[in-house]
Amino acid sequence: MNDQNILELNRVSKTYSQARDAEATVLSELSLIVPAAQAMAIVGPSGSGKSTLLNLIGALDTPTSGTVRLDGKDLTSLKPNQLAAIRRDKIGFVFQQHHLLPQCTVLENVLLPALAGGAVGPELSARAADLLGQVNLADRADDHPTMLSGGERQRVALARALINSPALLLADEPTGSLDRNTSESLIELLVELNRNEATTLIVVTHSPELAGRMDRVMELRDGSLSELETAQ
Amino acid sequence: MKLINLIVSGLWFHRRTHLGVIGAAAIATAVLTGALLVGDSVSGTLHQTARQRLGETSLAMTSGESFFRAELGDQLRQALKVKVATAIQLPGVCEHAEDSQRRAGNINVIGVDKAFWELAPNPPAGKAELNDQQVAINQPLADRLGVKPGDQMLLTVSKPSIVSRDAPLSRTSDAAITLRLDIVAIVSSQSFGRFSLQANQAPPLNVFLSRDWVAKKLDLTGRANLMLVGPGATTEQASDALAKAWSLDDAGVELRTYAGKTVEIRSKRIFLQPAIAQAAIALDSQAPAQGVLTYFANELSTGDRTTPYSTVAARGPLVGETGPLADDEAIINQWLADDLKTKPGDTLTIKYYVLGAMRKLTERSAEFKIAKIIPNDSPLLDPGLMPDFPGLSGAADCRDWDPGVTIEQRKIQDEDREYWQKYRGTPKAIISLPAGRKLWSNRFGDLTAIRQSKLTQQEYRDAVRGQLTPAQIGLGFSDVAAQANAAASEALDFGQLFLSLSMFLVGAAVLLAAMVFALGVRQRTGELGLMLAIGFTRKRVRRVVVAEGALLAIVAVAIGLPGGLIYTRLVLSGLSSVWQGAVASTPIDFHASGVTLAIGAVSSFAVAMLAIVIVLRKQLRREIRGLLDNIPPAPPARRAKPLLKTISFRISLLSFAGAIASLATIGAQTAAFFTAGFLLLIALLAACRTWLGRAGLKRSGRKMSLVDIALRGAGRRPGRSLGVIAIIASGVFMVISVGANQVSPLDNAGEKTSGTGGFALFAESSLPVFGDLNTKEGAEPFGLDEKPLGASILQLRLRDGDQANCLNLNRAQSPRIIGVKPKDLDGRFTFIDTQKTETALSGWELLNANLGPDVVPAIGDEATVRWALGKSVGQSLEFVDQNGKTFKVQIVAKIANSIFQGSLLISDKQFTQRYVTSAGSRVFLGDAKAGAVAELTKRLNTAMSDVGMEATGAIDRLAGFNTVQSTYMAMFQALGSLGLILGTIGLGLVVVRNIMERRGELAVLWAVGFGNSAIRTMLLAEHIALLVMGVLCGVIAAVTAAGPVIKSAGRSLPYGSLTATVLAMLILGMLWIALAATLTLRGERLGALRSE
Repeated sequence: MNDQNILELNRVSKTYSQARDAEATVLSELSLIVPAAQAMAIVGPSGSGKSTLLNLIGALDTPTSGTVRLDGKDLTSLKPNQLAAIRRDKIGFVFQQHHLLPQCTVLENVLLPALAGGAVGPELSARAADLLGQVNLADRADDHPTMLSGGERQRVALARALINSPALLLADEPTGSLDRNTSESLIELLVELNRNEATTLIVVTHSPELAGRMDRVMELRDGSLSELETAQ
Repeated sequence: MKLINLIVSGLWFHRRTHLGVIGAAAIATAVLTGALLVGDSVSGTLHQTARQRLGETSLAMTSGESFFRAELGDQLRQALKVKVATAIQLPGVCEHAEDSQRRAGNINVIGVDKAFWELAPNPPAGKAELNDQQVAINQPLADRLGVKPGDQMLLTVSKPSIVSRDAPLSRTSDAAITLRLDIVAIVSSQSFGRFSLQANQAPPLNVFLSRDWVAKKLDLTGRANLMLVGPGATTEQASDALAKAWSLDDAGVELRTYAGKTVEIRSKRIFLQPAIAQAAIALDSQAPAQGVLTYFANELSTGDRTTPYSTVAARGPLVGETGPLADDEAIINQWLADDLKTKPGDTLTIKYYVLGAMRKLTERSAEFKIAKIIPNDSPLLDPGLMPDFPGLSGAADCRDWDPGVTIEQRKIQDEDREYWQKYRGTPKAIISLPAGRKLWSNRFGDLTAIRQSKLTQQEYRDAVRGQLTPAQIGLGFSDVAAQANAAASEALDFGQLFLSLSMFLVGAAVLLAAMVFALGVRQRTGELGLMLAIGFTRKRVRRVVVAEGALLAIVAVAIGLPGGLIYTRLVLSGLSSVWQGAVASTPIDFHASGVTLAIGAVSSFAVAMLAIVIVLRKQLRREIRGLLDNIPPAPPARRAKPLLKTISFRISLLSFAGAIASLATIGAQTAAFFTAGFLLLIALLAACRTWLGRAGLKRSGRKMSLVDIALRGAGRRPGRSLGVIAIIASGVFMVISVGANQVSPLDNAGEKTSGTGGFALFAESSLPVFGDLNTKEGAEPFGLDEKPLGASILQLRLRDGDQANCLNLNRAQSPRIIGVKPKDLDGRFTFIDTQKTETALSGWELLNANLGPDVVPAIGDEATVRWALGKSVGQSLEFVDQNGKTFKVQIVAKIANSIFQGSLLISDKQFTQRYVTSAGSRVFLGDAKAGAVAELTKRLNTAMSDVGMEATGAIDRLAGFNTVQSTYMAMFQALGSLGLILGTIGLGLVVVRNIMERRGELAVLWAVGFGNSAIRTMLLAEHIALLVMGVLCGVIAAVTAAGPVIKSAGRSLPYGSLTATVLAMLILGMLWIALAATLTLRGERLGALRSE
């Protein structure tokens, strides 16, 4: 694997069992290489397998065949605990639903992935505060999620995804539940963070605006990926 | 498509969740219905027992120690044209003829004829009539003696004395006879083997003999003291027939004619009953009468000359005070004048015995001036003036005298014997009637005869009878069938009791059903949202889900009802084994009424529906969007109030203050501590609520940890979390505090203020004991030393009746009465409730309170008064005295948990006034050294076996009563523990529900790198915290409620069972939490990340 590539998918297939021994193939012999610090969008019609692909990349799911290598490690050969460590240390997630813990403050929510790795020290707290500053929520650190708007909550989720300085930031329809203005603001933020933090960004989206801001756009259709030309 | 299709498909689709709802609701139905059916079974058994003991008897007339003509029964049978039987019923003791160790006391000896068996529930198999010396016994007695038909037994039966054994000159030497009998049959309960007029729990020990034969053996030929009337006659009809048929002979009264003209009315009891005397006084205007009171004098003397053992008659008009003599004068006959060598004007001294308590004889004397000397054959003197003193009147010679007093034969000279042979009992001296009454009147009467000369014997008989009613001579019918029905119907409602005992279990099951249903509804929030979104009204959605719930409830009830029958069988099996103490070891048969099943079904359905409707109401209040997105309602944005301003903190402070105050102000120690414990529980729960509320709002500041987040998670839904804590805490509190406060009979049992009254021994005899066991004279007849083993024995009178204690499930209608002398019990036992009297009496002195005519003050044990009689201080019961007069027994005080449970106590004075001829003692309380109790018990039981003495340690007796209470506690604890188990299952469900609500969050945790074990740890920490808080709150409050146990010396908390309960709770709770967490976390996570 080239040192410049953070992610390599080699002939990855994903099939699901269906009734009467039938199988549905969502991804078929799919290969993909993503260089470090690249911002990439995956688009495609509903049901094309975008989220499935993202889950495979994010070590949330395993392929039926093929390999997924992240930062040189073959995810398909790792045990659950090792996968958990990969998710914790290498990957950041932003979901359509923010899934913040209501009992924790904004700052604590940002620190949650760090807690998965053990005790949270002052350095991480400072980083969390810094990230909150980057998403313009520095003054809301001690508030609970119930006091925030939908856009603010998604920004907290973004800060949470970045707390462990992941090599790869995955976002599944991050603007799906947001209004236009809030979406634009979040898109701006994602692009900015990608540049500032040199984090590889893969976004699954239906949003042309968001896809248009990425370095590279891949379309997933009938189980296969093809690259679309971008405006940039 | 119809709505019903939607309902049916919904039911089928969510069948797995619904199975949980059905299961929990079925448990609630089973427990609720089962508890009610236990009540049915107990009530049914009591009614069945009542039918067995009375058969077809509807009315009964008992006359105790007075015997009426047996032919009175025949007269009533003809008049009423119903079944009537007359019998003799007496107490006795018996033993196996070959083995004196196999013996039984408290035997009902019943002399019967063929008519008796006609009233049996089922006619006995074989020959109904018993021949001479043949006996039939009931099964319990056969079991006790280990006998069968063909064996022989010895029966000692109380021989009724026409003269009370407490009356002057009565004898005790013939108080009982022993018969050797051939056992010819064992009579089953269905064939009248259980015959008894008393509504007691324990089956009687019955011995049936031929009435005619036993009457002959008892010198009571042609007499009976019990009449039973079969169905078809009312009390009024029977009373009318009795009023027409009775005769003076039924009152033991006879008439004699002297000198062809003077008619005398006298009583076989020596003293004429006051009612008869009153009747004669009422006739005085048409037949002026003279009263006679003849007494036996030990000695008549003038100066230094004496004449032993003579009768002296007091004579005079019945009405007015004027007579032939002044009250300080005497007339003597010539024989006495010659014997004493005296003359008119000399002083005659009369020495005589009066009979005190326990036949204690006291010699007294009185002086009279001799007014006149009359010839020996004067019309004023005749042998008939002497009543038929037992042991005297039939004797041919003075040397054959055997009265109830000691006769010193050496004092009797030849001239005395000649006088007896020539003049029999002719009095040697006469004094005025007022003077005689002053010396010799007693509770039995103040006349031995009444004489008049105007009416013929028949006219006088009719006239006196006309003045009386049967009730005045103690004859009257009681509606025993109605009493038996009342005793069974008003008995302790076991249905209610079991329902109360099972309430925590029912509550836990209902709550569980509600929780499972809520879980089901929670799973379907999207479905509900969709229905609302596409145009269903909330009412219509509610109707669909309620209809589903109703169908579930119906299925649950349909399953629960048979479950209830099984639950009842299980409880009955418990009542016949581990819980037999609760029903005094009586087998309870299964009974179930359709009405009870219907009540159980309807109540269970209603409860289940209520739970369902409440859950649904809460869910349907939510916004459609929230329902549609299946997002749980977020807790409202809250800001932490200052601690002092939170409602729950204020409640906790108030409750804590209440707990302290209750300890300081409430009188009864146990109640105070229990109240304090309960208030403390509220305080702790309120404190938990405060903590949960604040935990949910906690801000960063402390070091962040998984456990910290978990604990704060518990505060996310403070209401739900508090519910879990409250269920666990309440269950632990109840089970532990109730268990800890179980009364131990050994606590301070030696103290005078304890339930034993400081007595070491309690004994009861089947036959009365007439002498004082503390004296040589009283103890010797039993081969005992005076004050055996140094024990001082207090003897009390007893009137048999229903056992009004917790060993009798029937509601006692006419409880046993014990006569006590208040001073004998001074300072003993603990009074818990007393009635204020005008004279400010207290303690046992209340028994001497004057509450008005025919109102007798009584003191009873708390359990007797409150539970067995259903009364309270100030209330009264009606009794009929020996003369047929109704009087009230008013409860003036209650004593705590005592050996007197089962009886009411009245003063000895009142006792003897109401039950005049009742003689001797049957209850014995012994003061003995602790080490001597067992030996004393054994010695009394052996030495006094002929009177059926059954002595037991006072502590053991108390322990016997406490067995019932302890068993109730054990039942409560067992059922409470089952409730706790359901409570812990509920805890598991809360875990499931919380996890389901947080699937997205948990999936994110997983996605960001938390391992399964870390997530599980967090969930376990959160819910185990709730469990531990619940257990801690329960234990702390329970330990406070158990204050009296901790405080009192010699008592301690049952640490073993307490720890076991707490550990079992914790382990079980953790198990459910772990299981629920593991199963729920198995779910697919990826979907949760996209949408919940």
